[in-house]
Amino acid sequence: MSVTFDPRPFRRLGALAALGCAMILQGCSSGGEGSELNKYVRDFATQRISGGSSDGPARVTPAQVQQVAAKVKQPLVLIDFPKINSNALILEIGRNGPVQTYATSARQTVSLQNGLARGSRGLGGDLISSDLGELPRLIAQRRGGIIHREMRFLDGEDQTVRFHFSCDVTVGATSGTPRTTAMTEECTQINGLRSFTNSYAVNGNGRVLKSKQWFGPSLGDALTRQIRF
Amino acid sequence: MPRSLRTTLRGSAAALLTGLIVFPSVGAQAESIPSHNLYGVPGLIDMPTANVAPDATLSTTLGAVGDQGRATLNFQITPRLSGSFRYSRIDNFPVPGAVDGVYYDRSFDLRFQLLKEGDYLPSVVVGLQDFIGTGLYGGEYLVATKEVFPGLEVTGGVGWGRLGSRDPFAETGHRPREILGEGGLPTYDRWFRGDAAGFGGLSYAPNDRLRFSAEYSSDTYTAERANGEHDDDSPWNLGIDYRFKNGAQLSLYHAYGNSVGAQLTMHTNPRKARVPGGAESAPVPVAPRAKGASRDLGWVGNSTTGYRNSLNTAMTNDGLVLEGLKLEPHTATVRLRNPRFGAVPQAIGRTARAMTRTLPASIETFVIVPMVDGMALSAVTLKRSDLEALEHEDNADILARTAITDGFGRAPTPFDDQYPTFGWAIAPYLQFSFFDPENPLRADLGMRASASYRPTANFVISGSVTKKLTGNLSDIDRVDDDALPLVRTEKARYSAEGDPAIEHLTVAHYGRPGRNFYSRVTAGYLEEMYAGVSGELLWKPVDSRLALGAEVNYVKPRDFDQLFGLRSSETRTGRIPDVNGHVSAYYDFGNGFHGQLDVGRFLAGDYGATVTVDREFANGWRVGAYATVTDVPFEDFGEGSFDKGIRITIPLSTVSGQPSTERSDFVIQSLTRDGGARLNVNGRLYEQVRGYHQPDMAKTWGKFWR
Repeated sequence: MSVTFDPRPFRRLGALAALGCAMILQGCSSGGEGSELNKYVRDFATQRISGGSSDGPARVTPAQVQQVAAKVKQPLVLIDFPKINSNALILEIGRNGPVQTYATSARQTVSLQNGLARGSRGLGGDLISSDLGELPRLIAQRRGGIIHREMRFLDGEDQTVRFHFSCDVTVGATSGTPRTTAMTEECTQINGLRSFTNSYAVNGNGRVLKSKQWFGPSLGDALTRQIRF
Repeated sequence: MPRSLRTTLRGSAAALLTGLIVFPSVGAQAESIPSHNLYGVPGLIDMPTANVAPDATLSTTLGAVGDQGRATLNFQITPRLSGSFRYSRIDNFPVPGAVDGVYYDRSFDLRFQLLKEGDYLPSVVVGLQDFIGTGLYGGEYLVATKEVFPGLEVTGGVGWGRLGSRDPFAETGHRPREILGEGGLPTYDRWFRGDAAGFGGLSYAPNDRLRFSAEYSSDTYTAERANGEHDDDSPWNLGIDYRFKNGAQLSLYHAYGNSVGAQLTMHTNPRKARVPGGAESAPVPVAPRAKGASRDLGWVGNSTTGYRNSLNTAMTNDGLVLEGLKLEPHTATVRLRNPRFGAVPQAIGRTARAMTRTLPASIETFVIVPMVDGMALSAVTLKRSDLEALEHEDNADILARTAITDGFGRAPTPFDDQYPTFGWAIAPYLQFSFFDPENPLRADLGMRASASYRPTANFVISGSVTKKLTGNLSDIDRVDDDALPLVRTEKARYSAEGDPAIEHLTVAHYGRPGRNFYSRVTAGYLEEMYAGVSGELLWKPVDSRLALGAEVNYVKPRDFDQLFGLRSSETRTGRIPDVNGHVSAYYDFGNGFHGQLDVGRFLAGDYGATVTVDREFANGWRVGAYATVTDVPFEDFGEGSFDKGIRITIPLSTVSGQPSTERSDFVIQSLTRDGGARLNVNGRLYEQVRGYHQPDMAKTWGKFWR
């Protein structure tokens, strides 16, 4: 009868972090930490990644980044989606094998494998999953080569669509402090017209410190910076 | 014949709102949608072209020129086939059936693309215009369109009937003028018969926004000139289209050499969602177990309340209800109720994620049993190690390792604190009736109070009461000359006297009498006009695309005031039988089409069948049509000959971007008559059950990890 729009995602600010902690508490019952983290997330990392908003959320300031980094112990990433005009500081809430899942306070997540995009949730037009092929190995070894990758999305009918890409990975100069190697991945769609170019700054241990990566037709490119591993 | 022109549109305020929000929106395909004409089909001005809209495009056109006003809903049923429903108004047309010189008519069109445009060949479309009914707009055509230069299209065609009335160059047989049956039957005896004439035109689009059109019309408006005030001064019509950013088309025309016209066409497409994949918040990550932890059985034998509580917290966060839980050393069975996710796999996926985070490490097998009205609709079995391994993989991988089996006997008993439950709501409602010739839009506004009480999981006692605040629905003053008992046509009296009205007040029981079987018994005030008992049995194997059902109803008509009284079954035109019912077959063709056949005895005691075909989309959209034919002779049924209509279902989630189990149904039906009428009882089984079965879940499985 009545149209009810569910306000849940807005109401449950910080719920994901709280939830994670509630579960940890169940098993290990170390109090305090959960609520502190929860409060922390509320205070400093409230930037919601919002699709299509005209003004966009306030930028995360360097001071905020430092404050968060000083207080929490989890891995932290600063992520920026220029196409949807939004950015956020995201912190690790889960790890499954090589894939780390990072979250905003507004129950949005980004999953990265050594900084490489494996998925996103709650951003609208999400990258549902991706198969990176040999890319992680090439990045870790800072070697060039040709790789194949598959990226999967949901269409307007909620059906899975799969894009296949052939990508040329090249290694550029090593420079800067800390010293990083610039790597570029140029991808063109197989049986399609899409193409994108990702770039990665890889440190001496083969870990991605900074990147520009394509997250799909809706989200466009993401700029990431690993604040802490 | 004005009585056949009124069409009712059933729907809630949500349906209307949804419609208003949805219909103007369109996806990125806007540029490839061809210009539509005044008849609301791809065309120039009054003439059709052979252009074809992208598959599943749903277009609404409002157009007026001279004395003609037309509202058309056009749907691209398949990539080549499209269908239209049109409601039109002709001023200054005092023919029988007109009210104060204004004539209303409904019409249906079909178009089929015979040939797709190639490098050298044009697109070719064959069309039937107003092919059911009185045939005022009746005409057939064969038309070809070719883009000869970027933006420049040339169209030429041959028309019959109305489209063959100007300078015919040939005659193909005899075109009868008599109406078949009582109007409402396909006019197959006329198709492509009689005079044939040529039409054609040009259109040029210098950019994405503008299009200029010129056409030579083969329609001389013979009937309008003979009976009305139409002047056919020129066969040449001119037009200009403006295309908005969202794809909507606004057109201005100069037609017949003497009139101006305007048109607005809006497009939507069920295959487009506002936010692809939805905008809802993220699920919690899978929590993989530490190596070797699965051997730890230390928890067995101890209290499991803690596990229950943490799982409950996690599921509540996702809007899911943990109704029961059974923990065994290596298996956990969850009794799930899903009030939130229209895509069932999403509810299953989120429950499974929560289970990985909360349950003891030794538990390897997850069985999730989704419940609706106390019926275990299926049992979804997942391996925890698969969930851990496939969290970031293709969703097809986890589907291949998921077993969806019959839920019969699989559900744990609900926790003691789950039942009884009580719920209530008070909300405004809007009820509409469109297309009455004396008042094309009628509406009632009021308040509705509803409540439900569930003493156990399987019993529902529910009711709703309405109080009208304002409206004019009850002003309808039709008198019917049916040969059937008045089972539906006293609607106006119910509407006038039922204030306040008890819409329904029933006790219902739902159950699983055995494997593959589902049951419902409903007793009480079943709907606004009937009270009694309704029983239903459904056979639906969990992996089957076929379902069979049977329903038997014993009913007595309710008093017009819609309170607690009953009235005699005797009506002016006969006695309403006590017993009606159907056997039904439902079949999911698997290619996006779904069919339903109901055979049985209708409310008025007439025997017959209803055939329904829907185009269904995985996100929950449906566009379909139905027809009911009974043993009532067409002349006894009255105008329209038999019941037919169009129905559209819009899931709220595709509009809001947020998950929801709520959907809005629009039914555009011919005038409600007494033949082929069914009881409107709540809670019919098939729609409740099918979403939780394998074929439907496989379609929406992309939402499992979402």
